[in-house]
Amino acid sequence: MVGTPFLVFLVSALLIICVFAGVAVSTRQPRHVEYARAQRLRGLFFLSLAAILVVFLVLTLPRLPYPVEAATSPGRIVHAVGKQYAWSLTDGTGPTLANWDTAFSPSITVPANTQVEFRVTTLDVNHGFSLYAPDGHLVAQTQAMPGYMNRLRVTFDRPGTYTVLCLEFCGMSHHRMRGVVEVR
Amino acid sequence: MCTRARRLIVSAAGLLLATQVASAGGRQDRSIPPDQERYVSAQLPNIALTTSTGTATDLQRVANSRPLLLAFVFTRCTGVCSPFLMSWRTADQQMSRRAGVARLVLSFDPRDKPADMAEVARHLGVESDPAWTFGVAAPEDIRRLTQTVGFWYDWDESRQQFDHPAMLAAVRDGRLVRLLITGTVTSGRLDELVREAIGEFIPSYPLPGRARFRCFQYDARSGRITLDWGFGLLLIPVFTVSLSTAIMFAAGARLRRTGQT
Amino acid sequence: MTLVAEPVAVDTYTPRLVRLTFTWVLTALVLFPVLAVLGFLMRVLQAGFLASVPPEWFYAVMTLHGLGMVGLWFVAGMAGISVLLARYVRPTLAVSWIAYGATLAGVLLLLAATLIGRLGVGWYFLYPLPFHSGGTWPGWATASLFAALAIMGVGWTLWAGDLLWAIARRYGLSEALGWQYLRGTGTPEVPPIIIIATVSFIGVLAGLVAAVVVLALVAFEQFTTGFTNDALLIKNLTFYFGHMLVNITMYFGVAMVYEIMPAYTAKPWKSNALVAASWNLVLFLVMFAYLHHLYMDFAQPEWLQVTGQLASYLISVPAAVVTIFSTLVLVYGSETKWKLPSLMLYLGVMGWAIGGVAAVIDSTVAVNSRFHNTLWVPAHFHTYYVMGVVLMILGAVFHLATELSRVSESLASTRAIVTTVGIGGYGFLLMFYLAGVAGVPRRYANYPVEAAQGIFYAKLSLIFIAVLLAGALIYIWETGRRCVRALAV
Repeated sequence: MVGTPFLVFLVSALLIICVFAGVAVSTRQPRHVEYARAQRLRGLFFLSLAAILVVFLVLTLPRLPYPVEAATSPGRIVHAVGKQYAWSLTDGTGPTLANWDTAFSPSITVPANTQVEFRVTTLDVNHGFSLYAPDGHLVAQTQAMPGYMNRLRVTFDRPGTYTVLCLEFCGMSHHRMRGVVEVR
Repeated sequence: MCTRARRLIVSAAGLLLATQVASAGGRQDRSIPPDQERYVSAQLPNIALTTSTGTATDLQRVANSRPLLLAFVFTRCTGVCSPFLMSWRTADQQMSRRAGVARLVLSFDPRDKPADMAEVARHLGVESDPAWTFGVAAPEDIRRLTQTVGFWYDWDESRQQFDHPAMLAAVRDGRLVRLLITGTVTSGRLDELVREAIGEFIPSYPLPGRARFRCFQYDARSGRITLDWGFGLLLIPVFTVSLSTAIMFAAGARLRRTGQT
Repeated sequence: MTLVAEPVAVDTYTPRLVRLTFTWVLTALVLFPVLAVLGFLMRVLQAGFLASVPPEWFYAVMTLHGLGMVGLWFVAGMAGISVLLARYVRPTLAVSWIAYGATLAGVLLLLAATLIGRLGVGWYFLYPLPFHSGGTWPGWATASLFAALAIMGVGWTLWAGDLLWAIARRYGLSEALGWQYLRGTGTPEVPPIIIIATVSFIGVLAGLVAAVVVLALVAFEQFTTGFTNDALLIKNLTFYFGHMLVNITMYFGVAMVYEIMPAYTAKPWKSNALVAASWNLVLFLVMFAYLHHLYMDFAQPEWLQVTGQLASYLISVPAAVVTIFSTLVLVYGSETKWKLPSLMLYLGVMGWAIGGVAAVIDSTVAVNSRFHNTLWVPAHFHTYYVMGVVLMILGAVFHLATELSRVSESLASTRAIVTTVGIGGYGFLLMFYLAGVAGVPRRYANYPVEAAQGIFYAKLSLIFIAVLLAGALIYIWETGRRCVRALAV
């Protein structure tokens, strides 16, 4: 899911560099540029760019991450609560500020090949709930915003230990905030 | 049988029931209401039941592939059961999505008979409404079912009543999707419950809190997100600057006209 | 009523204007390497060196680097564009001095807040983080931050307002926005810089008003009881402000390209229907593009998320089809004199294009799921900043400095600057992109085992940054001495 965008970027960047280089080199041999021809080329460029953008809009807009497969019920619901500086992962309602020390749970086990719904919120500042697969790639994410419960649905097709990292800067131990989701 | 003996037997039965319930693994702390989130996604056992009209059926057949709303009461209740059911009935009438949802009211009191439940239905005015089912079931089945959703009922010897919470469970495909723990069902909350049961879903909802000037408010009745005061604040920059720009350029034009550039 | 635009009958580069402009420039040339070295320091820490430095220092440095750079290039852009506008309109120099004073005061407050107070809130100080220091920074540091923002905000609002007023005294609104070109009349003739500047100042003022609303709401919460702000509303307003400030800085640089590049290509760059149409479209779209910062906030309604993607995609069209394409047409086959200014302006446009592609990719909601808050984000904005607007502004500055000091250019210096900046710049950016693709989170003082590749890319980037800094230092030396010379002349 990241390979294609990166490839598109690389190809575009190289294309841009080649075009700019080519145009710069053309100044070694000055020539008259016909305005009408330039405008026709501009028109062609406009149509191509518009077409590319439309294609990507059509391909990507149906794939919004906001859970729209409403017909399916999640097999499991996990409450993810962020607080400076840890993630609590529980089945029932997550801890509050008052009972954090006793009710906090840094890890949870969920079944593989089942849709899991993460209900994400935070007790203090904005955090970013993210799931990293055992091989290190980012699986999914959503923000944790105070006063809101965000719902992220994920189906883990491979068992293993997934890490929850914080992806919204939240203070001095932002990089140490973590949780563990064991998928069996 | 003389009254005293009857009372003794009833008490003993109640006590037995209470101990059965209590001993059925992990007694919940009665001082806090059942956890709304804890039992979500639990699979409900498909228990057999007898309806108020005497028909033998089961949970799945009552649901009949529809989303199901489930509540537990007992007919001799002098507490919350009646107001709870009345509020549910009223809210149900106001609800935007009335069709396509099954409603089931079960008694957890072994003394209740189908005829007692029929009386409850009549009292609510839904005795001829096919969407509402009232029924009784075997005590062990009731116990299994209520435990799955976190409902509990304790016999209180002194008051001769069952102590129990008031809650409405939303069930979808045999799984609990949402619990509403409240003595009074309002149409807004009921609508939310039904939406979950139907499978409608919003990716985010605001938590109850004191935040003023929210951008948006989720209206469970219409299922839409409507604009709130905060949205107006978001438009301040554009309006302020448009106004200032217009004033500025008008003033500039005036200066030019009077030759004062 | 259309007016015939009269030529500004004034000696454009008055001593007063020169003194003001080069005060800004020299200040920028001092702040720039300091802030750049802070960025280098961040990568050093991320590479695993200086492990004894506590993480709160990383975040304090990160806050200073971010706020500093955003502020620096904004004021440099404003200073640059106001001196170029002096060819056509007459801004009030005193207001620019007030802005200068306000900026200096803000800089001092921020330096204190971060380097002494260890304020670590990130450059966009996302509410409610400034009020949850967790014991890291004292209350006065938060107060200093907001005081700095307020002071600079007032100064910059006055400045942008004055510049817009200067345009308004000479042109009607529809002329300043180039509507006569859309109507087909083309008179009075209005240079592109006026159209771009008008669009930019309107945008910047809107962004600054959004910041005022944020400050007001936050202050209200702090000084009353029982009132809590909606985090989503504040985030919308904060990103409206931040996105606008950064984008407008970009447009300042682009305006300089329109104004100065023709001097090197010996071909004019005039306004026409396309220029007018594209910049008016930009004015409209830039109000909505900021929504792409909130894709991962599921609390935001879906229709706003889709609007964000549409606006972000669409806004690339005028940039690419009009400005970037026109730059290429201007240069193609022309007798362009490749001096340092034209090279930097040209390369700046290229960097803007490349960064723009990365930005449009990330503004795709489905892709944003994987790229949001990874190093892809700093990758793309450093691309159109360091290799985009910074090159444009510094190219314009060198042009001015050379013109006014009459010190001729050294070919060796030019070659050295372009080579080191090109290699160093794109090299350090590539490290960000690769790390982003690997999912390495951004804004991490050091990397956990799950993001271990981050350390590798950070280490490599140090080499490139060193090369880039070398080029920057040569540039600063060359430009600095010309500025000093120009002031003396």
